Amino acid sequence: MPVIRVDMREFFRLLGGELNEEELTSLLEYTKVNLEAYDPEEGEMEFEVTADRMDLVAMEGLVRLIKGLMGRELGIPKYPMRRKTFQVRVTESVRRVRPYVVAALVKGVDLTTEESLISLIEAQEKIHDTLGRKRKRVSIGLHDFSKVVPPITYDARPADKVSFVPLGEYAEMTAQEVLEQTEKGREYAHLIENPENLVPLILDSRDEVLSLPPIINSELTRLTPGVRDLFIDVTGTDLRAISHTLEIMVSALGERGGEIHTLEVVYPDMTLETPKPEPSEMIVSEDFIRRMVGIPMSSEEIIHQLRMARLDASSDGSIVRVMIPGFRADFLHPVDVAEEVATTYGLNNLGYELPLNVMTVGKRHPREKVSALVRTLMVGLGYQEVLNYIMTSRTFLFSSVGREERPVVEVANPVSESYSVLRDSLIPGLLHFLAANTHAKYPQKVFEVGDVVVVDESYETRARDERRLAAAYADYSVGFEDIYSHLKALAGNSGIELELEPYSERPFLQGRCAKVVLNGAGAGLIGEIDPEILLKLGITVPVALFEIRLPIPEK
Amino acid sequence: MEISLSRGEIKLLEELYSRSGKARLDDLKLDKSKAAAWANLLKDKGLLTIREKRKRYFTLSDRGKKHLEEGLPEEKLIRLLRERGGSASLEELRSSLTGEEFNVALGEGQKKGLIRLEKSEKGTFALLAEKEVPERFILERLSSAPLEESEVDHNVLESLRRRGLVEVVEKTEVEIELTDLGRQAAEGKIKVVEEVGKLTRDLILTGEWRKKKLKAYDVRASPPVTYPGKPHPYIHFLEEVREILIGMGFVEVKSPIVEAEFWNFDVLFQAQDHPAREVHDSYQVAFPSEGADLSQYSSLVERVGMTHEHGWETGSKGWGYKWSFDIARRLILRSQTTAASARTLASRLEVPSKIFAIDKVFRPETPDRTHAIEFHQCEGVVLAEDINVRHLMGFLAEFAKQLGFSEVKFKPAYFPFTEPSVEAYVRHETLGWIEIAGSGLFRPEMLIPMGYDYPKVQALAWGIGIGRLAMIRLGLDDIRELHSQNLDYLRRAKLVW
Repeated sequence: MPVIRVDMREFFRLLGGELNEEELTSLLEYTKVNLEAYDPEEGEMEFEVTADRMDLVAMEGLVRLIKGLMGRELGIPKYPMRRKTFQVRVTESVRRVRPYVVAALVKGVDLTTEESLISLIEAQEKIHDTLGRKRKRVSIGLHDFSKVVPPITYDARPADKVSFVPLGEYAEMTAQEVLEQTEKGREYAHLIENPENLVPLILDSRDEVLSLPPIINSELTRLTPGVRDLFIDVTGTDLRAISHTLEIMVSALGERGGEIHTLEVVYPDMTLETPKPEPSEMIVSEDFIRRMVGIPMSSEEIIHQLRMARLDASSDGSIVRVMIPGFRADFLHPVDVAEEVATTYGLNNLGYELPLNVMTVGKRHPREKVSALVRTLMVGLGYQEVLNYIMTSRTFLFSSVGREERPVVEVANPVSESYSVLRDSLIPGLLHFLAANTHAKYPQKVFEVGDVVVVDESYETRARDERRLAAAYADYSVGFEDIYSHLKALAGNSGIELELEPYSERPFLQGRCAKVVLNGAGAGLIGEIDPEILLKLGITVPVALFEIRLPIPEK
Repeated sequence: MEISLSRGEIKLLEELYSRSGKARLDDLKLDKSKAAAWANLLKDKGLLTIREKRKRYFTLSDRGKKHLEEGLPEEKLIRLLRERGGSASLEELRSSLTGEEFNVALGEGQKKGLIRLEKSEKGTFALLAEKEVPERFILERLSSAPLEESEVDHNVLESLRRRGLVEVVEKTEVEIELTDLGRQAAEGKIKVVEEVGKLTRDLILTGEWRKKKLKAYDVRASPPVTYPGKPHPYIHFLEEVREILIGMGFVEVKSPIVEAEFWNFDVLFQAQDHPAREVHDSYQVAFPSEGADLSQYSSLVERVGMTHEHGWETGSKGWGYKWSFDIARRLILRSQTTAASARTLASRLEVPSKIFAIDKVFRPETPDRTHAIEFHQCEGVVLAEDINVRHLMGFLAEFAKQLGFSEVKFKPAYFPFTEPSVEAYVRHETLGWIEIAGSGLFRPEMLIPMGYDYPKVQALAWGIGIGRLAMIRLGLDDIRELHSQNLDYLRRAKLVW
């Protein structure tokens, strides 16, 4: 979840009044936003916002919502707007490099302070990292419009044939040099790699480069405190995401008194007007809302709750028409409208109850039933239960305990080699456990009941879970007979038929190892561990051990 | 009057009496470790007195033992001189003794008047003057037994100590002496009844136990430590949670650890480019390399794909992207137990139904005090007609109450597959408000493709990071301790119910 840091003074200036920590926290109970830090000494606050509400990563968006919850402003904010001020032309070639662009002009914005500019750029960066998937899907360019001569062209040109002064540099560089020599260039060049070595460019009518998305803007249009008119371009791979981003940025500037100018974005095969001049509409049945929220609410109450959420709504008594501003992209289904009503009404004000119509009979899963039974018996036999990880390493499973390698489930993106495969047996975990506790008092009797994962191509996910039991008995003098007697007690007392067949497998000692047959089917191994392995693990007492697959009855 | 004594106490009493009622404890011919305990018990009963004296003893040091065997340096010197007829040059002596021995021998020899040095033109000669070496006598006595300070000539002792030939040992000497009462008991003037410790089969069968007195134990004394066979404290806690949910009417369900992305994400309406599906949030499976076989679910798969793309018949707009079957069949490690709920719901449960899962999930985190690569989640789903967000909170409040939290509050939240989504917080007496569950009502985009009559039929669901609750309950502050490799910890750990 994105965490945003805001300047307290700037925040309260926009809100038009101060709130103490308690007041702010209790208002946020009506939102998905969490107050992470409130630090008057540093003059800073931190908020955690959710991924569905990217409009709140801009401080201005957060202020807009809180104004609604306080009842200071209700409904969709009305920012002054002019339409189709100029065109942004999109060439055929750029669509192969970075296919989409949307843009807007916002005039007369109050960005006089350093803080206000910083907050705008922070919002931009947060969107790049989240919604923008590190600029791959979305990237934003903000420009001082006084340096721009429209109309604008979104074009792609060979990287070595175009030059400009990139933001933060002093001399002109070719785009090729920008990609290779600047920090941002090296970080993001892979996002626009293409066989023709073209770079996407936002150019004005003089053919001046305004930006090389998604990498860097031109020094020419650098923002400075006091800037009044902003040109915004948003480029990317996903038209929905870039349009939403533009709406977030534009509405944030709208909160700062800006006049929004829509632009015509002319593609070879379509023309868009961005940002959208009108909110979108969703039709929702009032009964559906009441059904979800669970309390009777009048049409007026429903409408009021939606207006607090900064939506517009009207009702004919059974159907609500909800108007959704462009900066909200989280309305896929009427249920999303119902949620707004529940949220601004307050979950804790709704009250709660247990429903009466859900009589059902509870039941333990058969696998857990059998596990609980063997656990009881193992505890009765004096064993301490242990719990080991399912994720482990190949070395842990095989060479370190002298087992022969076999196929195991392997992950493609391990965080470390120590956790890169899934265990196929409980035995290595028990042996390593004993090795870690050689200082503890003997006898040591430990067991684990847990899942192992066995590769099985015939199974729908190519690997099956198996619930197993393994028990190890370590003492100054202990042997096959001791552990066998415990296995026999376990089987006998749980009604399982047990037979042993001579068998040989590492890490058991040859001649002191057997295959365990439960109810007529091979189910595991029992025996004494080879002292060579024990010594390698630093264990200096004999260890007898068994592992069995638990017979789980069909439901 | 009658006194009860154990067999050991009687033995000590008799032995002491035979030594005229007073002796050093060490001199008694009894098991020394037990004799001290018996003496203390007899003292408590007023039969004897105990006096402790701290005494300094001298014993041979390692060097002393060596010199006792090989001879003291001055003795070696005398021997050499005798062999050479009573005199030798210093050069000769130096070559026959070690450097250290030579210096000591010359110094001690002169001091004790054993030798005399004489200078001549040919150099310095040592001449023999026969005398006893007093140290030898003491060293020999010390070799058989330690000596008390008072038993030895102080000057000689001091010289031995200075030369590092003896060591001083402090010892507490225990002297016991019968009291009048003790004497009377030993003489049979007071009746002594033998007291027995362990009651044995023999004593019972022979009837001996009737004649003897069964000793009263000090019931406050600590017994030996026992390590019982025991469930793991964390699993024990999970069993409690299981019991609570079964008690509330929930049926336990399972799903495989190696899972298709379809069940872990797609069917939950999590878009294929959702950040949770990226490499840093879920484990992708490299082997087995073949994707899941979803053929038995083909019609559900098709409906889910259409729902992602344009909403299908769910009334939703969908995510508006090109959905990929190849991504849906990719294998991952189960990253949320909601996969188990999804599989179960997809099998068209009866309405109403209640299901739960407690199982491990896997995330590529860097392990530290608060993050684990695998951890347990506890998930519950209520599927029923005409239930709403108030019932969701009702179940959460009841579950929290069963876990011992009476105060609960709720906050709006965002989860991709629930709407509305709710976070539940409970009040802990020392930690304050803690988040215990993420929850919500499953989205129509999830329930309708599975064939449920949404919105009449709703499914409310919650997930709990149960490990964190267990840590609070078990008093742990490092999540890794839930998989402790420390047997001593497990042996000591309390089972909390």
